[in-house]
Amino acid sequence: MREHFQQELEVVNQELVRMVVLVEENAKKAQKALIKQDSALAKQVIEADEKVNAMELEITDKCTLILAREQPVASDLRHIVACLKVVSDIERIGDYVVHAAKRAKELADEKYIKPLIDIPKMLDLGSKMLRDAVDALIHSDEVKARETAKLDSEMDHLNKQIYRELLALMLEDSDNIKQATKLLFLSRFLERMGDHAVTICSWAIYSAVGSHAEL
Amino acid sequence: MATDTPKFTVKDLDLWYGEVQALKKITFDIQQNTITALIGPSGCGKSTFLRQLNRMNDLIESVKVQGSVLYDGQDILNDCDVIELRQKVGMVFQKPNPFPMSIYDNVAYGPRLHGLAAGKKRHHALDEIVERSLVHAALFDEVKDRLHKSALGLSGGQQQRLCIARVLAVEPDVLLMDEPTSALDPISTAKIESLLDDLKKQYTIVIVTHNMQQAGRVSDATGFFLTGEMVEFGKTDDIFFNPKDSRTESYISGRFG
Amino acid sequence: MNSKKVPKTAHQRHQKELKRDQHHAIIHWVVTGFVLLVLLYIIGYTFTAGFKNLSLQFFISSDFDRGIAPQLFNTFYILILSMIPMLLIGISAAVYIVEYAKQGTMLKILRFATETLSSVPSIIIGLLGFLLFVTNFGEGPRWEFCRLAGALTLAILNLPWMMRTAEDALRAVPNSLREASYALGATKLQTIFRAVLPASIPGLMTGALIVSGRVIGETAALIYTSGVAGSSNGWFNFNLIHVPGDTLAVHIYTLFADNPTPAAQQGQTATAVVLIALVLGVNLLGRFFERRLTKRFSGE
Repeated sequence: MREHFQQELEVVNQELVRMVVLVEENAKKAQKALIKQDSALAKQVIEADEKVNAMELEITDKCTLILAREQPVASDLRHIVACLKVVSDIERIGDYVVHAAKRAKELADEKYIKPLIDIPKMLDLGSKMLRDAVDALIHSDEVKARETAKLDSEMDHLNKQIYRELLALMLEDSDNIKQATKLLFLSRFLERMGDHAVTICSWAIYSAVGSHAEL
Repeated sequence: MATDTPKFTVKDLDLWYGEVQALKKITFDIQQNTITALIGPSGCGKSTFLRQLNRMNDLIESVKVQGSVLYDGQDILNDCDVIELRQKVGMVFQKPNPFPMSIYDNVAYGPRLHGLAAGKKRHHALDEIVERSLVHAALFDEVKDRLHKSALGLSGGQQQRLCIARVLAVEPDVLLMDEPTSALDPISTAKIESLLDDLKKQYTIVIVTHNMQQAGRVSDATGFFLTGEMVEFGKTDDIFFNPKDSRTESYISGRFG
Repeated sequence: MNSKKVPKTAHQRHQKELKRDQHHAIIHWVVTGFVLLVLLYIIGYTFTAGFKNLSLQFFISSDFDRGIAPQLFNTFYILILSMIPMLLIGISAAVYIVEYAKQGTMLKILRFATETLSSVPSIIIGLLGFLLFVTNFGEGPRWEFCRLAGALTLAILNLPWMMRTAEDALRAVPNSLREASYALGATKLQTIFRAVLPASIPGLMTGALIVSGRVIGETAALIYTSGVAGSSNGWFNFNLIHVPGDTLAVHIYTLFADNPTPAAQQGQTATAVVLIALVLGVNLLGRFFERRLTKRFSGE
């Protein structure tokens, strides 16, 4: 029954996954651009972000049409509302990946004051959290959502670690300050990836059980 | 919202049509000045239940009833004046059924029956009752110039509002509505739905509807009937946001008829 | 050579069926035309034969062979007198059958009795009326031939028909109407009198008009009950009993039976014209009301 409706819901889910895949790919490229100091690769990421923004609008429109035509209720309704909320979080995460790419471009011609280890880790972790959170939403998996949200503490840990290391470098040599502050800001932005992923997790729980969770 | 005794208290209501059990252990309360919607697939007992609230099932010979239904605390299944009950608990049917008389006579039928306009100024009092009821049913302006013309000349939506006016004229307490807008076009439906919102200030309304969206738009509480049982009953907000029973969820999401 | 052609294509078969339909239509038209012709012949013959004998005097005079004033009056008088018990009993019986009776032996017996009564020949009913009303009723002076006897006899004769019509009229009232009345807090009796009966008036009226047609034309049952005399009554004699009163139909019979003169024959044909005109008129009126009132009932 209501096959058309089921198909429409499936399409929205698939579009969300596509959006996540795009952001994941961008994150991977941004990571590589940072490590290899590849300016051209960074430029690709910046340009690809347009597609991510476009997808946010497309998915929003699709959800709105479903509301208008199918009048969903109960769990279907909660799911659509959650999808609507979550697209903007995914888009934000995509923006932070772009920040990483922009920093990569800026620092392409400099020598790194320290080898980049934790920042790439944050990109990986952010990607994973994004992927798992959206999975939890699509499959109405409350357990997975809660577990994914817990990973945010690791993100915070990485952020603090970077802060301490960069602080030390800045105190050591004032020439380091310029690059270090750029890296510090980048780290703060990447930490927000985790925060947005946690928001996605709470909407996944909303869709699954109908209550707002404190994660 | 009134928090006194519920208008209706139903406990373990069973009903049989001959050998077939049409209602199974129905138990819930209907609060005063609310609109309660009864939803569920065809033939699941919601209309049968509604008709028990004003003992219209008595008209069918093979009906047997067990359990308790209290109206304002009084037992209406046994030892109850059915005539008085039906005056206090009025009913509007699915297909508008005005009498083949004038609009005025239709509305005046009930008051004349119960002698509501008595005494010396009887004619004047009756005029007042008719006008008041038609105003309350949002029909007066449309028919005030042809009160003595046949009611059958009205459109479907107007006829249904006339039937509502007819019920209001006997000054009931409760309005029972059995799919009141299913035979009407969307505009008439919308008019009657906005009327309900107004009416609930003064009356308690129970409405059986096939239309999920109508239940959502109109009601404060909703009960879901399935094969003679009441599967779930609760605030409409809860039922439509997060129903407790998976059968309720399936039904309102349209995943089964 | 065997020239039986077997239709091979669908088109050929279709053509064959069309031809068959055409043949049937022609037969139907012929039969209908025949019936119409017969009716027109009867009316036409009577009118042409009798119209010339009509005059104003004919309608006013109470002379035996030159006027039908008393007969005209008697016809309507007996009609009204018979309608009263017919309507009362017929409608009451119909109300019982439709609103109260449960399916069972009582109902079956009632129906059987009604059907049987309706198939008794009218002259037998007339004899019953004679034996009961004319010779047995009345203390001191018996009723004798009188219009009341005629009216009551006709009531018995047409009662089954009236009951059936009333029953149909009541059944035609939709149940939703009764439900609406009950839901407003009416008792069964109130519902019957305030909602069902008023709603069935169109059907009842039509039925009454059609039964009137039968009453006006009744002859055999009246000969032995309201009698064959009446011209001597003069106009507007309202005596229910003791005084005979023949109707138009009976008058046609007596004009010839008593006194087969050419004048009588003129009177006969003229009376026949009036009678047929009356019956036609009542039937048409019945049909007219039926159409108008059912339209009102089912919504303008």
